[in-house]
Amino acid sequence: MNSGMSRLLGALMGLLVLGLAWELLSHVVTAKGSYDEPLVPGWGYLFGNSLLRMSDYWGGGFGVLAPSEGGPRTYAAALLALGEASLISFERVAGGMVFGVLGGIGLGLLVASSDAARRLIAPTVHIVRMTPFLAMIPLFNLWFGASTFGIILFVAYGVAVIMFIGTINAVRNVPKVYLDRAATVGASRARVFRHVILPAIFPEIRASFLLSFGLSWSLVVAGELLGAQSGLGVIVTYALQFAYTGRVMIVAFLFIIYAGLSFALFEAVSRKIIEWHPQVEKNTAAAPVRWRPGSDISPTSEITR
Amino acid sequence: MTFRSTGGPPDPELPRFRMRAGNGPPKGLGMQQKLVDALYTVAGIALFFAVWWIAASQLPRSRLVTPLEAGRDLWTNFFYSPRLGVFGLGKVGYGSLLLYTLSNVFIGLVTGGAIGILIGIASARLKLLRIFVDPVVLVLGTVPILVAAPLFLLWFGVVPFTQVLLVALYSAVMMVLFSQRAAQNVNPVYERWAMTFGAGTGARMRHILIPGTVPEIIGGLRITLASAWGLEVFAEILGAPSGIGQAIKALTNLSNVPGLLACVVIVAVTAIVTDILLVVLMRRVAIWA
Amino acid sequence: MNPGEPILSVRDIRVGFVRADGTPVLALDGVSLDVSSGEFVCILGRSGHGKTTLLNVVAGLLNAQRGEVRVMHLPVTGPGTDRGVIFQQDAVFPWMRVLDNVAFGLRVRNVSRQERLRIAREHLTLVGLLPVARAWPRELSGGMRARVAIAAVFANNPPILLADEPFGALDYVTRRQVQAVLRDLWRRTGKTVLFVTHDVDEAMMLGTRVIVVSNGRIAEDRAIELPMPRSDDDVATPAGLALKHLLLHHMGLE
Repeated sequence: MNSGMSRLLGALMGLLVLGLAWELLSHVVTAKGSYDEPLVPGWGYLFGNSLLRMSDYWGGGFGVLAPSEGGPRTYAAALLALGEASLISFERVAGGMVFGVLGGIGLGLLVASSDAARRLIAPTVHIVRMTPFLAMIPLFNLWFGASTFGIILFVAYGVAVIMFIGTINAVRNVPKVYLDRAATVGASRARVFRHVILPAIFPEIRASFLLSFGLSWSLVVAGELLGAQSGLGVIVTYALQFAYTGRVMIVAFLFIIYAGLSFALFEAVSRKIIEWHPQVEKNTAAAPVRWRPGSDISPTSEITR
Repeated sequence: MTFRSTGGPPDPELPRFRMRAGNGPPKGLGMQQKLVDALYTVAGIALFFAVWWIAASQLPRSRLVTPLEAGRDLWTNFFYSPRLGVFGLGKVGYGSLLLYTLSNVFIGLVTGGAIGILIGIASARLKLLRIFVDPVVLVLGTVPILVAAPLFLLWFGVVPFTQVLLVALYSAVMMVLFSQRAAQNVNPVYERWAMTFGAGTGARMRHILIPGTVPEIIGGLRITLASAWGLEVFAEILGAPSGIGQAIKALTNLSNVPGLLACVVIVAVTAIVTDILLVVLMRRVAIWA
Repeated sequence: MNPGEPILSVRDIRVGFVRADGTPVLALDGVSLDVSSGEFVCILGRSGHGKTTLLNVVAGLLNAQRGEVRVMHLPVTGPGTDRGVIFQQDAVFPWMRVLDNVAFGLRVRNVSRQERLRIAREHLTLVGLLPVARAWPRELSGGMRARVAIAAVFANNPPILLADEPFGALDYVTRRQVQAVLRDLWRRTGKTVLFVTHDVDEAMMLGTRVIVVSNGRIAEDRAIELPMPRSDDDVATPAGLALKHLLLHHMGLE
């Protein structure tokens, strides 16, 4: 079994264990909070009660009636409500990622090309990076509003900082010998950029990118929790007002699933692009093929004396 | 534009010398180099404030104010801020609120971090523990910490424990990851060599594994600390009896931009200072690294 | 350029650095030499005595504070396609397959795809690596990557070839095999080679001429009058041993 599969299995097992522990806990802690909601709702309650009552957030449409207009609480309505909210949150994650990555890498490459620029900007970058992102949310809310636009901007800001720093480091870490080699064969700046710099920095940029995935989901969650009007996070805000622990749990699970899935998906897709990297494990049980000295490849087989 | 790189193994004949295609040796020589570095730092900081100032002069007061104004607000409200008293925070200023935030971060980081480090190092060596720890950490290591914030608030209420628990949980998870990696990165040849001298497991732990992982663990602590600040402030904004986060929340409701900026500045400054302290600690504890 | 005139001319090169602690260091102190076309010059010396610095100045990767280098009468101002380099560190691009690595220099000069791949395959055949043309560098052993580097440099057909201790990381057997590859390609193409090494035996096996650099100056400059192709027996003659003792002496070992 290769490592990718075993990691997946491990993750599933971990989820199972945590799920069981949760259920156990719900039977131990039977206290109830306000509005008769158990503090630790078990799985039965979560699916029977909390999920069903998510339909409260459905505004009607697609032939499914909204409870607020007198319709029944149905799973269909609940799933539609959650789906709609998820899409909004997802849109924010995607938007923030796109702008953040493009902006971060673009600016990073620009600054990396000039030693003076990099050193001059360094203190600003340090200050910006050490200012906790989450503490900036109210400021962004004030500036751009707590709408999709504002949240996308905020996420883009956070992602851009990560990608910028990652890009600068990646360029600095390009082994000098590759640049020297390109110079000795007469490569133009454009060629050096395209054939040496870009491929050489790709693995490190990919690592920053994967980091940004987790960050952007976190920033969307945080942004929505602090005053948004739509999205998954706002369901939590509503639920908090009534101490509906179950609904908070469901949204929490959804966030975990979304973040994990998008991360795993991208990791798998981008892995193929860096198959050349010495440290990328191939998904086979055997180690990467190494041509052994002494096999067909004799160094002097073709040279005549 | 030319790309400069400093990567690659150092050439023994060219100590600390950066080769540039087509240019001569660097203008600096030792002392001169240090002076240039210092100048760049000063210029860079000046640039930051200059950009802030220019932006503030171009934008309305409802969006941004100058660094001087933010500084003034910070100064006048540090020990006592009448504004904040309205929000049920009592007779406080930014200073005392900051202290609350700082102590929560510290307690959470230290307790959670200690647990994480122990579990991390142990699980790197004990396969059985590893099998158990890895999946849990993998799941908990993504978004969940933030969604736990409102949950903890529901369970434990508006008390310091809620925030400390959040920070501690996050610190524990992060430090497990960092410590595992640190322990794995200790070259096994050191322990093997020690075994040839007759060193037992305990001795090897004490003299090789623990000292060997210190630099990387402190590095992990720095990263965790930086995020912990944000987590604590966030948790406070959600609901807390005190803390800079509460000040931020209050000032946002008042749409008080100078105050907001002052709070962000003070958080940033404290985060930078604590980071520097960790670096100093690292230099003292791991001079050899 | 007339026959008999040197293809490479180094005049009074002076290079100084500053160490990390601030002390100035004179890496090369007024070095001059001439190299004729077709020579295989081994630059021998201990680590830190200036031989790599000299090579980097000739390659154009480093500017000297005084003196000049001329290749075919033209002054050297930077790296160029007239001087191919085989580096000490592994410079084979890991993100390109072997064939593309060898064809890289040609691609950079806008040689057509068909033509450059043909030339690349031809040179891979010469070093015995045609079967791994589609492999990734990470799948190859160190010796094979060294041969890829050799093929890549020769594929560009530079008149001068500079090598900076390229085989230092290889084990004894592999090193001798790759040395043979380089020597045979040199004999086949008649290029001028400057080969930096700290290994006296390597210098004696490969060179037509050996220069010892010691403390930033040239301490010895001698032709190696042993037959080519050379075997261990050719080196173990009285003449060869005498030269070896002389070289060891200049390197501080005897």
